[in-house]
Parts: sequence; C-alpha cells; structure tokens
Amino acid sequence: MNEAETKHSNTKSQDLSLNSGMIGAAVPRPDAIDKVRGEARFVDDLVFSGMLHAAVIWSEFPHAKIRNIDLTAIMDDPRVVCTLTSEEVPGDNIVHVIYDDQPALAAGIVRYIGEPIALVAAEDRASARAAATRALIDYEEIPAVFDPEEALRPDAPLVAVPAAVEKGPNLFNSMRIRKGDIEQGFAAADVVVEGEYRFGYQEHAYLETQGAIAVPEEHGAMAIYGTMQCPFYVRSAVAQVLGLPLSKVRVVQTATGGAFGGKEDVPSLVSALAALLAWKTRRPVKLVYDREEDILTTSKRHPAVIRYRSGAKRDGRLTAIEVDFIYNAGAYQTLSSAVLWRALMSAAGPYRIPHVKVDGRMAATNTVPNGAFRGFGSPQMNFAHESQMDLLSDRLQIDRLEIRLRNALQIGDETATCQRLEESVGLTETLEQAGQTVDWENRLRKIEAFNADSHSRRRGLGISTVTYGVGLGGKAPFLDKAGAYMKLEADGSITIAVGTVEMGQGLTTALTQIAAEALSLSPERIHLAPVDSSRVPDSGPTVASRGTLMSGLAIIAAAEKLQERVSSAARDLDIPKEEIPSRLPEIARVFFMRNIDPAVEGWASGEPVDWDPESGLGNVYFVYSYATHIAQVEVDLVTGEVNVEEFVAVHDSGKIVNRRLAAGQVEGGIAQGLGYALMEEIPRQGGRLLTTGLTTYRIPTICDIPLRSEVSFVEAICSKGPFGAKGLGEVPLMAAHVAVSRAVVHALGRPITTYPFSPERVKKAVTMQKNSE
Amino acid sequence: MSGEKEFVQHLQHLKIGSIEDLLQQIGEPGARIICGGTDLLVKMRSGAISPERLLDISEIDALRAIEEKDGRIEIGAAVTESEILASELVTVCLPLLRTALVHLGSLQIRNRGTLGGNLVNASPAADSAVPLLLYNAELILQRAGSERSIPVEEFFRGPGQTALASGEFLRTVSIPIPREGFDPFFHKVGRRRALAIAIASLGALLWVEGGVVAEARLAAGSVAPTAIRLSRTENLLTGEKITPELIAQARELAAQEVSPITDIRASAGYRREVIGDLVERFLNEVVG
Ligand SMILES: Cc1cc2nc3c(=O)[nH]c(=O)nc-3n(C[C@H](O)[C@H](O)[C@H](O)COP(=O)(O)OP(=O)(O)OC[C@H]3O[C@@H](n4cnc5c(N)ncnc54)[C@H](O)[C@@H]3O)c2cc1C
Repeated sequence: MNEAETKHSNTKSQDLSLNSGMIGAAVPRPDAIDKVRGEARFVDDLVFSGMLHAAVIWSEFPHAKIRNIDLTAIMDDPRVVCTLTSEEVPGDNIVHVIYDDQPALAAGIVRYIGEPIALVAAEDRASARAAATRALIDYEEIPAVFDPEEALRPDAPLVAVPAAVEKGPNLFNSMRIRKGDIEQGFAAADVVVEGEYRFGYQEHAYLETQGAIAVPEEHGAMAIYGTMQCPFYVRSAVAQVLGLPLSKVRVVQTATGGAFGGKEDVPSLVSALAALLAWKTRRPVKLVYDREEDILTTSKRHPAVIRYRSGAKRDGRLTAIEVDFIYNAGAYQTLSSAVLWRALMSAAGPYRIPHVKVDGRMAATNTVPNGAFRGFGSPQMNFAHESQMDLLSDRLQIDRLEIRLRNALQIGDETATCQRLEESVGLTETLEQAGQTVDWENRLRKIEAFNADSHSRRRGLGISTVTYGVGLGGKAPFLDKAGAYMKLEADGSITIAVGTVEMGQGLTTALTQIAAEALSLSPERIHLAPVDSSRVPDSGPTVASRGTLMSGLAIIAAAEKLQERVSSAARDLDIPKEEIPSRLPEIARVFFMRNIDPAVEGWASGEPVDWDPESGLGNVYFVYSYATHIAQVEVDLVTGEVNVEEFVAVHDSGKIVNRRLAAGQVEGGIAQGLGYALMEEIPRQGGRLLTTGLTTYRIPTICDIPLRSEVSFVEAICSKGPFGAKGLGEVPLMAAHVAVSRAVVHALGRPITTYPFSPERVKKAVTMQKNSE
Repeated sequence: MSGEKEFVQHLQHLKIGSIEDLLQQIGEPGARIICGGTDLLVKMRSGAISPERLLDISEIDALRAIEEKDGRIEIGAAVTESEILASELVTVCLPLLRTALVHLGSLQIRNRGTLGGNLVNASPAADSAVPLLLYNAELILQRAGSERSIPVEEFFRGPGQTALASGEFLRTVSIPIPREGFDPFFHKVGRRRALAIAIASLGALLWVEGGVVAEARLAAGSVAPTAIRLSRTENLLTGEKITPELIAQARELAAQEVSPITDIRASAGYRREVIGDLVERFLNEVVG
C-alpha cells in the first residue's frame, strides 16, 4: 500500500464509523503501517541508558547433578560486569506458573538440556555471549528418561520434584471424564473402530524471539519491558524472584512479533532472569534469545500418543467413545495441567455422544518443558477424533460430511461433559456451508475421475470439524476476568487501557472498534495505550481466544459508565443526544472546567462455569466456537510430496468484529496448520533436540499456501459476548491441520497415523498400499 | 546456543576489482573468497570457519558475464542465480539449468547467491550440480601463472571438498550447448516449495535414434557424498529400446547405484527408493 492508498482506506473507516456499524467493518489495523515500515519498536529495538546485556549458561545434560560451577574465567574480560547463580536469588528461586516446581536458575540439579544454570551481564551482547562459553560446569550425569510412555513405567528414573507430581512417579497429572455407561455404549454399537495416533513437537516459530529488558526504578521498584502475552504472569514471577511486593513491579508489553501461546509462560522466566541481573547491578539489563536458544530451550506443542475407540450405530450415530492419551510435559509442570484439561475437553470433538470415557495423563520427562500453543492440547485430539469419524464413515459406507452432520452438536444437545448447549451453536451451518462451497459430492466425483486417470499423482479431499470452548473454562475460573480503564481527555479524545495484549492478532483494532461502537464515536478519536500492568487490574492472560471477548466486555462496561456522565453533562448543556459524538470536545471541556471525574473503569468477570474432577463433568465453558475446514490436496505418489491445492474454511465465532482481521486469523491458521500436518518436525536424540534453527525446522512459506482459499463466517450470536462475539484465534489451526492430513489419507486410501505427514511417511504408506494390493 | 561468536570483530572485507588483484591476494594466510556470502556467512556465524580477510569477488567484471562462444555457454563464477534465470541464452540453450535454479532457496537468496559459490561450496544438495553434470560442464580454474579446465564430475571430491588447489579459484563454467533431445527432466524433493534443501533430486537428458536410446544422462543430488552421474543406469539404457522390463531394471539399478545417508531430512532407504522411482517416472514420460 502506498501512502495515498493508506489515507484512502483511513477515510473509508471514518465514513463507516459515522453511521456506526463499526462491528463487522474491515477497519485497517493501526499498527500495520509501522510494522511494514520497520518502525514498530520491538524489545530488541529499545535501549536504556547504561543498559547491560545478558547471556545465559544453559545445561548441556538432560539430567545431572551440578557438582561445581566455576565462573572465574568469565570475568577475564573487562567488559563483563557480573555473573549470577541460584545462590544469589534474593526472593524465591521459583518461576511460578501453576506449580512451584521450576527454578529460575538450576540449583544443584538440571532436568533438561537448555535449563538455565547461571547468568552473565556485560557491556555488550557479544562479550556476554562469549563469556558464557567460558563457564566450567562440573556435572554428574544421572539416569534420564525422554519418552512419556517409558517415563510412566515403574522402573523409570524420577524426573520431577515430588511437589509437582500429583498422581505418581513422573505422572504430573491425570484427569478423566466418565459420562453414561461405557460398556452399555459399546454394546449398543453396530461397529467399533480403533486408532492410535502419534504426534511430535510443533515449534511456535514466531518471528520475534523471546526477550525482555529489566529496568530498576526508584524506591526499589523494577520495570520490565518485553515481548509477551501475559503481563500479569510476568509481574508475579518477577516479584516472587526478587522478593518484591506486586506493587513494586511494573510490566510493559512491547510490540510483540507473534506469540501463538509461546509467550504465555516463557516470558516469566526470561523476565525473571533479566530482572535478577538488573537487581544485582542496579542497571537496565537486556536479555534476548537467539533463534537457536529459542528453539532449544523454550516450550513447544506437546508430543502425544492417543488411543481412541469409537462405537456407532449402523446409521452412523455415535454411541460411545473411549479415549486414553499421554502427553509429554517435559521436565517441569509449567502449563501442562491446563493443557491436559483442555485436551480432555476436546477429546469427544463437536459430537453428540451418550457414553464417554476419557483418561488423560501428563508425563514428566527430561526434555524441554512444553506449554501453550494455539489450540492448547486440542489439535492432537482434533486429528484423533476426525480420523475416527473417517474410519466410521468408511466402515459404514456413509459419506464423511453426512456422518458428521448426523452427529453434530445442536442447541439443546448435551456435550461430553453433560453440558446442555443453550445458544449460539453454528456447527451444522459451518458443515453445510463448507460442503456447498466446495460442491462436496461433485467434487468427490471429479477427484475420483482424476485419480482413475492418473498414474502417479492422486488427489484427496479432507474434511474436519471442531469445537473450542472459549475462555479459560471450569478448571481455573478465577483467571477469567479483565479490566478496562477509560478516560475522556479535555479535547474530547478517549484514552483506553486494557490488560490483554496485541501480539499480531489484531486485538487493538478489534477493541478500538468495540469502544467506537459502544461510545458511538469514530475510531480515530480513540487511542489504546500500550499495555502496562500499572494501568489496569490483573486482567488474566491473553490466551484461550479470550482477548476480544473479555477486554471487549470490560470496555463496554466502562463505556456505559462514561456515557452516563457524558449524557448528564450534555443535558446540562442542552446538547441533543444525536449531537453528542460530534460535540464531544465541547462536553469534554465542561468536564475539565467543572472538575467532573473523566475517568471510569470497566470490569468483566467470566460467566459461571464449573467442573467436577471426579466425574469430569460440568458446564465447563460458557460458550463454544465451531469450524469446518475442507482441503484438497494432490499427492505425488513417487516422492510422497503433498501439494495443498484448495482450502475452504467456515467459522462460527459469533459476531465477527472485524472481517478482514478475522479472515487473516483464519488464513494464518491454515498456514500454521499446514506446517503442523506436513512439514514441522523436531527429531530428538535422547534429551537433545536436533533442529536448532529455521534451516532444518521447516515452516511453510508463501509458496506452500493454497492458491485458492475461501474463508467465510456463519455468525451464531452469543448473548454473553461483546456485540455477540465469541473467540476465534485458536480454532483455525485446529481445523486446518486436520483437513490437510485427512485429505492425504483420502488421496492414498490408506491411513497414516503419525505426524507430520512428511514425504517419507507418505511414500511409505504408498508402498504399503501397493504391496497390499 | 554455543554462544554467538563476534565473527566480524577483526575481519577485513576487501572489494576486489580485477582478476589480477585477486591472484595477488588469494594465497595470503587467513584470506577467503566471498561472493554472495549465502553459504560463507552461515558457516562463519556458526563458528565452523573464521577467516580473517574476505576477498569479495562479486564485482569483478570478468567473472560476471554470460556469453556464447563456439557452441558453448560460458558463465562467470560471480553471476548470480537470478541473473542466470533472467538470461535468454540459458532459457533457450540450457533449460535444465533454469529449471533447477528456479527452486534454489528463495528470491532473496538467488539475488545474492552465485553459480561459483554454489559449486565451490560443494554441498551434495547443490542445485546447480545436477544440471551441470548432465550438460558435461567444464570448470575453468585459475591460479597465478596457470589455468586448467576440468569436468564438473571431477571437481566434486566429497561434501565440501573440491579439486581446487590452494591459491586457485573458479573463474568460469563452460557448458557445451546440447543437441535437441527429449524434454529434460528434473525433480527436487523437498518438504516445502521454497527455501528447501533437496532431500533428493534427479535430472535426466535422453536422446533416441531409430527407436533405441542413443544416449542417456542421469544425475542425482543429495544421495551420495557429492552430486553424481548414474553411469551404470545410463549404460543399461544406451542402445536399448525402452520397454516396461527395461524401466523396471533401470529403476532397480539406479536405486542401487546411489549411496545415500540417513540424516535429519530423510532416511537413506527413502532416498534410494525415490531415486529409483523418479527414474521410472522419467522413462515412463519418455515412452509417453
Ligand atoms: C536460506 C538459504 C537457502 C538456501 N537454499 C539453497 C538451495 O535451495 N539450494 C542450493 O543449492 N543452495 C542453497 N543455499 C546455499 C547458497 O545460497 C548457494 O550455494 C549459493 O549459490 C552460494 O553462492 P554465494 O555466492 O553466496 O557463495 P559464498 O557464500 O560467497 O561462497 C561459498 C563458498 O565458495 C567459495 N567461493 C565462492 N566463489 C568462489 C570462486 N569463484 N572461486 C573459489 N571459491 C569461491 C567461498 O570462499 C565459500 O567457501 C541456501 C542458502 C541459504 C542461506
């Protein structure tokens, strides 16, 4: 876009705002131009006077006692200012996420390769990094375990600290669902299908690696500037490590170059490390990971194995499912128990099933701790439940779209946790619309004709349908809150502060639109201040597709209060209601002259949810989003390469606040899903990850994105969301990767059950198919 | 993670203006030629090599031309991949070189990366190697006071190993314009469509006279310590009529002839099988 065009589209949005109708409008994002021009200031662009640079000394062994740490050689360089080990931590040597098991700096023992052991601060980054290589750590290796299934065997070496294992040796957590009577369910089934599904890592591969700057402030306070999703998590972690009250830690989120869940828990550690050095030196300290450090030492999507049995009637109706799964948590709990819970909640898929038995386990191993990643434990489940539906379709000779329609949840149905769905269930519409868009039956016939004609290439059509509970749900309802601060400035402009963050997903734009709609103002009058933990109350994390929803509700609550004050001032001035927006500067002036309080606060608290750990049942989320994706692929039978030719994505995320941004989220999810399904892989040798950069960890490029893709929305309005909106962010990835992998299976006519579908795996399936023919 | 070396600290970067200048500097200890830098800088950053002086040959005019001379195309070592792709001569006379380079790296890489750098780096996966092997390219190597020409096949000695002697550099790639034959074949297997180092690649040229194969040239990348010609499979095909039986034999032989390794990208077994199957695909295309 050149400047002229930019201006043009800005004018357009202004026009839209004048006749209201902000919600749904394709308002361009205010941060886009800065980012495209390279003017956005990411954490590594920021410089503070007197700032030092940090480097980390990482564990080189997956499980070892530390006999001695010798850092004398580090100090050889006059540019090195200090080192720091666990013994000097002034507060608790703990990075709290859910449990208190993870130290900021290893004390006496390391549990994975890449665990921080000690820190160096120097005048420049190169000196700090060079110095870190001079550390002499004396390790005594002890037995380690890397595979989650092996970790759960009785004779496995113990990985985790006792305080972190809830359920047994190396068993961080186990959770279950018991609905109905599973035996009766399978007895009632005419067919039963079974599958075992395996997944490796997925790396977030955000453009901007992890980084933070800690800046000592007056009166013993500490400020943190960093790339992050959860400023309030960072604040707690830094306060605890430094032994400071929460009020003395201020966290400012800097422009964030992607996160995808990878900046939910990890920034707490990164910021704590920077803060320790800043505390010791009383100087600002910057710590920015390079790509290799980021890939090797930070969280990823959990590797998993899922065993799944489904029973159905001859007409395709599901009678029962039995699911057993193990996820690899890595060496510390971090967010794994929450991931386990969401995996559990996703196990049944978006289907009506009377009898459900699900058992999930989270195993501790001597590998890097895994954590949040777009979908949060669901994507693995999504492939499993959709594979099962395709197996049933095959066995029963019922079309794949049809069998999904027959089982799709509708208003009035009960979910796998016995939650009755009261409103906003657009699932069937997503299935129907996706089917119509590709012309499902005709398309299948065309593909059949192509395949009959083709010797070494084959096409396939994959369908996947998913549901996602919006918000944090019944496991941690206390986190689901958000505040908004809103101020009418003396010139009639509006300043808003919230506690959830823009990380590239477009939250600032969506929230500005919501505020503009709620205040009947044009969005140009509204400015969202950078997120700063001192401006608003703890607003929970920016995760679980909750940003627009929760901060949106808080903004609406604030806007209502402000409107009231503005209206009463307008009445005093005889300004008619319809003229308030255009005469707001006049009104603001009166606020100023008469000392009327121009600031308000809005608060949103999650709708009531509940969950019973014993039965696994409950009203676990207050509303659900839905999606159906269909992908067409062409598989090269000679090489096993897969080309994704076409994509159709239909989402129900309630009212769409900004169509352009929403479509962008979906397109990004398609790309990320395609990578997960086909290319992204981290081979592991013992406790060592073998891909150390983006040369060998391959994410899709623009050339891999399907040429034809159509994104659309059915809007099943949610009465509890801001202007009817639900969440969207994570759902596209969940649906997309499954549509791709199922399309490959359809093309081959033979299942592949291990991710990713690399050329080699696909080729192997082709060979096996040939041999069996 | 090993700690990023500050690799530019004591580094000299010299723009070399002419071949004469280059010949004067090339033998100096710690000196290293840099052209596009797309291989060299990666290795310097990782600490694998640490030269003290970079001799930048990217602006030596004598290394920057693509010319036709006596039935041959001569490409200077410092010609970038993008320039090769834009060349009318290459498009018309050496279509296979074009096909292979279209998939090298990404546009940004091709704008900097050069043919000389690609060859001297001597990766078994170098994308220019397969077409140059098929075209029987000669490499003209020069050092102070002498010059020699060797077939590209003899240039590669192993991963990262070439026939270049110390003080010697690659000046020109000289390629005989081939006579008309069947449509050339090239397939690079990668996990994605751009910025993918080949897992395996196969290229082929074939001429048929009087119903039998007059000449067959097959070359494969990423399936041996260097890119290689599949000479046993070529011999099998030469003088024969292409039948389903022959295709099956060629497939087997090609798979035997390569010596791939298992690495982070793929297993040896997969690579072997893919080469055989690609030979089969090519021959099926020839039969029609
Ligand atoms: C992101 C990325 C993707 C890539 N993808 C591919 C790919 O898909 N396929 C592929 O084949 N390669 C790929 N490469 C590798 C690289 O881009 C190519 O090999 C390129 O052609 C190298 O050329 P250069 O001019 O940049 O070489 P340089 O890095 O400048 O030099 C490479 C080596 O050759 C030496 N050298 C250069 N010119 C001469 C000369 N005339 N005489 C003697 N020695 C010389 C240098 O000293 C050095 O050792 C990729 C690289 C990157 C960074």
